Amino acid sequence: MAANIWNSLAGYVIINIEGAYLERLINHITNSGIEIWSLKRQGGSIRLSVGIGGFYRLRTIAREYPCRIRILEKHGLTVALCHMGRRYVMAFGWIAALGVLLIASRFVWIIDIEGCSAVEEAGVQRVLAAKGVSPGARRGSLDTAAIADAVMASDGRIAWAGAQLTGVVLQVSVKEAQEGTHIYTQGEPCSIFASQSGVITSITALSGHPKVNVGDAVQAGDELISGSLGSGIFTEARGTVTAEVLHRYAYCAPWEQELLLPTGAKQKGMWIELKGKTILPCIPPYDKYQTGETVRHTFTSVLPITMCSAEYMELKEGRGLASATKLMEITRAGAEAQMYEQLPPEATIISKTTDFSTDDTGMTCTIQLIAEQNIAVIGEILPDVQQQ
Amino acid sequence: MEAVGLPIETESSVLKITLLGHRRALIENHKGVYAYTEKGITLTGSEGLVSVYGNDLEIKELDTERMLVDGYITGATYE
Repeated sequence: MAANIWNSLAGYVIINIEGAYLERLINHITNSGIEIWSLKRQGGSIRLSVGIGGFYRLRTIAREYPCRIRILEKHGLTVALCHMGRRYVMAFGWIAALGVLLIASRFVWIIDIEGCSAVEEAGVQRVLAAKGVSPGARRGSLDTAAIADAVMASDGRIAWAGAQLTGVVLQVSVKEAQEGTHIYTQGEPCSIFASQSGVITSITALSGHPKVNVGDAVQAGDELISGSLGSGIFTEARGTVTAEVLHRYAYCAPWEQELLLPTGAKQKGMWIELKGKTILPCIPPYDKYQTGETVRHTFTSVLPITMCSAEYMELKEGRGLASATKLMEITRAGAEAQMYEQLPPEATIISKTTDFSTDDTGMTCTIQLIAEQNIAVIGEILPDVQQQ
Repeated sequence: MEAVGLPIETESSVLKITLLGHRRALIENHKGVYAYTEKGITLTGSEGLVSVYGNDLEIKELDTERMLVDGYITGATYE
């Protein structure tokens, strides 16, 4: 690898040697200490690679043999430089380009501002311009810490600002202050009590003294986290307490319900279908109706159409005895409506059972569920405790 | 060398051929190229001529003691 790199830098040529006694010539060359590589026999000639320095020595040796040397290719940096040496304008262009690149790299050309949302980017640009930071400013004259401080001080909505110089790019990062961030301030001493009865599943006391453990059964009103720390020291109890709470929702509906009842009026209706799609529909004869069984007459041997007919029975709203299935639907919907209304939205339902019971008056649907929910409510520190 | 219990390859003049699959052969301690064609390379060694046969053979590296041959190598024999 190192030899390859050196050969690429120093330059090498690929030559073709044609003639007699080529093996002897090769041995002579290697014994003379000339480095050759990539030898390839091609009929009566050998193609090989040799360094620039070695080539001149090889040529001298080859004069002793009846052979002819022909340079096929020239490679390497020195060869490229030799070619360029005669092209003064190109060499000057390269040097000029390199010089321009070196000079240009001493200035800032791109200013990238990121993180602006509520704060206007143009405002930050104005602050930078006031500090003398604009495309074309000298890199050495920039104080990134001072730039960051100026940007941060320019707008109250900016919580933090930073500036970083990477090459010719000045990266200005802005972090805006988030609105509505809750900052806790100590309130009046209080305790946390159970809003509902249940079995504690977790308790996290941020301040105050926890009075219950996970697995404890508590009644509504029990003290969960006390604001009294003892020795007459009181604090605002804070924390969350979750518990498995049993909920029961019941909805009762009488047998007699507002229903759509048949009036006894009937009328036959007909429509035509083509390959299962209705092409000539039937206009229902009543506003509210139910249809009987559909009778279909097909004519597939002649046309792919079906003639359909059904009996339309008129329905009218009125009070009547509902079926058990209908009443189950009504009572279940009523109980579930209660459940969604009363159950806290953050509660997680762990188990749920639905039962129906009937008597002479009607049907009752009872939904019983166990939900995990926060039961902590703030209340005053108990008077007897406060006096201790 | 064998008399003192050392392996024979420690002797510097012994020709050594290492075949790396069919694709490469390393010949060490040769004394020069005797014949070179696309189908075979014959080298002189301390114990006579040694040939490496194959197809499309190319000498990737060559110096007074070492030769690295690339190509499709089919065998090596003593002449």
